[in-house]
Amino acid sequence: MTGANARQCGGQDALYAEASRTHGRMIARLCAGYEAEPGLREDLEQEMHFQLWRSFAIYTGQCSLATWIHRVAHNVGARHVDKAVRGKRIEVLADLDGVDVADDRADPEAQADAAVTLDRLYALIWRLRPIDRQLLLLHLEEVDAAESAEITGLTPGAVATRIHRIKVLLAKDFAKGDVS
Amino acid sequence: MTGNEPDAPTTMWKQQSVQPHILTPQEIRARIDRLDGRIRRRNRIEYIAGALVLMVFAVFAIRQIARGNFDLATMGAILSMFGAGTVIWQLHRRTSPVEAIDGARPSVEIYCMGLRRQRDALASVWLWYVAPCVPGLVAIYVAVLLKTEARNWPFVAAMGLIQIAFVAWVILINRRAARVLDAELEAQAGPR
Repeated sequence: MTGANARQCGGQDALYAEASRTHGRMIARLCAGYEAEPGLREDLEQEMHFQLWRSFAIYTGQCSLATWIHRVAHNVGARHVDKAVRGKRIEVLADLDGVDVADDRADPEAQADAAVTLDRLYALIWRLRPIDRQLLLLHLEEVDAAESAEITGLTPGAVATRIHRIKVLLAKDFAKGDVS
Repeated sequence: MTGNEPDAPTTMWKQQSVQPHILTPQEIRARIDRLDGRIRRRNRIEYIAGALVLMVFAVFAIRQIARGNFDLATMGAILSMFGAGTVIWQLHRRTSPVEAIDGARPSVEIYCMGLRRQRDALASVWLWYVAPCVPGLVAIYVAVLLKTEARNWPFVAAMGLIQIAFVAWVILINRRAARVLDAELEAQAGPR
């Protein structure tokens, strides 16, 4: 390894260390949103971390570290979903307008149970196409609309529309919340 | 942050128990080695397969020319060498390992770019995978047909038809896969 490479790798390693320290838990949650099977989820998480480390070789502060991490991680997740759909491992996905939260297991009382609600939330996430899934995951991570627009490249108007649909979905099926 | 009070699913989402798996420097090096190994293996297989195909046609063409037989079959072999070389080069070019993800570009843009690249490669399989082999194959079939007795023509025709059916099947399944990607791209195009 040359001196320049070593310096570059040092920067890359330091950036990765900071990213995994500050966003490691978010990445783990994200992986759960992109892969239902625990074994494959672990592989996906490692792939996300590896791709993040690789990407830091070209990071020169073009955007905030958080935006960079979200973009890279969601891209790995979207590719993973895309591969699973084409490999017919998972069924064709729906968009926000076409998705429903089917749940024939739980009665209304049981649905109030946190674990059941989280299961239903996952069932909804796993049915969505990558872009809608990304927006829902960003919403759940409490990333605001402007930052979501910057991360995804969608217009703020498109993000606002989709987030509204997400809020309606969540309010209708998960909580008695404000959807305004 | 959203500026609103987090709703129940959001709170539940963030409070769920997760155990992040952070890669150690050793795990990163191991993954780099694995990636490099995969690329080396892939290149080796491509080069060996390519060399074998080229060698078979080259040996045939050289022997024919050495015997003074520069006929249609020899032309077919030479054309097939060019065809196989083109296909191998295209395969190598189009399936090169994916570069590091550029986080400077919006995620939808990178995602759609990847889908577009795959769709175009699949939809144009006929052009870069099938077409380069056609001249050589046609020349060889015609040469074989001319040298075959008329009573054996049905057999040669049947072989030709099987080959055509196989090629059509390759084009069809690739176009179908391209259409799936197209649908995904259209869905992403929605309200931007």
